[in-house]
Amino acid sequence: MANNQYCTATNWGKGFITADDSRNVGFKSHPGNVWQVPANNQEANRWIAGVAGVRKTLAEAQAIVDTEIAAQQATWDAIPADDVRKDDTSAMYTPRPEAITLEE
Amino acid sequence: MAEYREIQGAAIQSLANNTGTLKGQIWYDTTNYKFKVESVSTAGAWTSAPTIGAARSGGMMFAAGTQNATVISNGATPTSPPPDYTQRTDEYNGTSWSQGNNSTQPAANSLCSAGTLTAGLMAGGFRGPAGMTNYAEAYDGTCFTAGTAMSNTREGAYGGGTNTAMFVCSGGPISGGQKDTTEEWNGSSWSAKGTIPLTAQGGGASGTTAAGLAFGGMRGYPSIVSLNQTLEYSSPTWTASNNMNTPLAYRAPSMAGTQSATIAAGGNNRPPGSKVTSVEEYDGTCWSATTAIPTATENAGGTGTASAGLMSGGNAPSQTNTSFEWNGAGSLETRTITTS
Repeated sequence: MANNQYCTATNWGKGFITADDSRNVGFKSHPGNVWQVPANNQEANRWIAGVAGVRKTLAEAQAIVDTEIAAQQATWDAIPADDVRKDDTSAMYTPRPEAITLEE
Repeated sequence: MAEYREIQGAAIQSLANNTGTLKGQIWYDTTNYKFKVESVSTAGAWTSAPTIGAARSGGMMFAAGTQNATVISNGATPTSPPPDYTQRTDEYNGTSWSQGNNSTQPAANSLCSAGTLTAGLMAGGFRGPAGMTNYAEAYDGTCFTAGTAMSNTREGAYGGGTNTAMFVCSGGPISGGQKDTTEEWNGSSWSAKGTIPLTAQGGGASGTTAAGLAFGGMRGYPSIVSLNQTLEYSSPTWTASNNMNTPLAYRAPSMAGTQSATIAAGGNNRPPGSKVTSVEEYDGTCWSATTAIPTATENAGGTGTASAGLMSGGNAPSQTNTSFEWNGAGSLETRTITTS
């Protein structure tokens, strides 16, 4: 049985995640406005409905995240090789965005 | 059955929306047709807040103030071609962000800051090819004014306090020359203080010159590692305290927190530099894990206190305009009374 469920929803600011949501649901967000919340959880189901989230299967959510990560990797790849963000001996170093594998 | 009026001596009020202000207050929400109670939280929570007008990251970018009255300025933006630093300023009033006047000094990243929205001070930073700076600049809630430069150039330094009593210590560059010195601003000049056994940069700070705190960061060249050290400051002396549970750099501190109550959110662990969601809270003696942020983020601006904080922007994984409010355990919160 899956431990997580996924949806896409745009964070509009206040009220998108309330204090009760934060305590009762447990969120992880991923690139592409993909939100991961617990499966088989009434509070999580209510939150998805409340934010008009569009439910995604694991495969669908993974595809969205993959596309977004690929775009971010392309942006990173376009940074000049001598830029401090590609220098792992620099405080400004930013690693190339890594692929994310969503959990079932 | 006794009525509420008999127990409390007053009837339940009918009020619009979430208008509770007193612990234990019960009212009928005439907007949403629900009974509400002003309760006290038992655990900290991160709640979504409005997005900033412009995405940026910058570690300790100028992010002075409280949860509902804060200003964020400068930092790195996602514009192309990078790197591109901004002088843009945005203010948050607890409800929305609005753009303010740009800073007047060259745009920078990894500044340190102190004070409030109407009496802030930022210092140092990294300006790309122009390198580190010792510039200081004051903010009065409307305009920036160039201030007296620090004695040392510093990037990613640890800073805290007020606009008339600010401490700044450590800082880069990481490629040799990281500092262990402290200097203080007293409202008219900078003066040298004691050394800090934290030769590092990219950490967090909070508190005042009389009771300050510096933690985390990174050091090492060419192999950079994140740190978990914690130092307490009582001008002019630094004293080691207990380490954070996880070595991390670029955590968002609750800058208006105190030496005995501070939050540190997100960050990155080097190597390899992965961003994290973890949050730790310092109680004056030890760090303990608390509610994680929803999104793995580093280099965000942190303001407010350990009970009412704000985390804004950062890299998640690239520059973001997202912000989250932190409400610690024990804070008032409005809850809906249900039959379940």
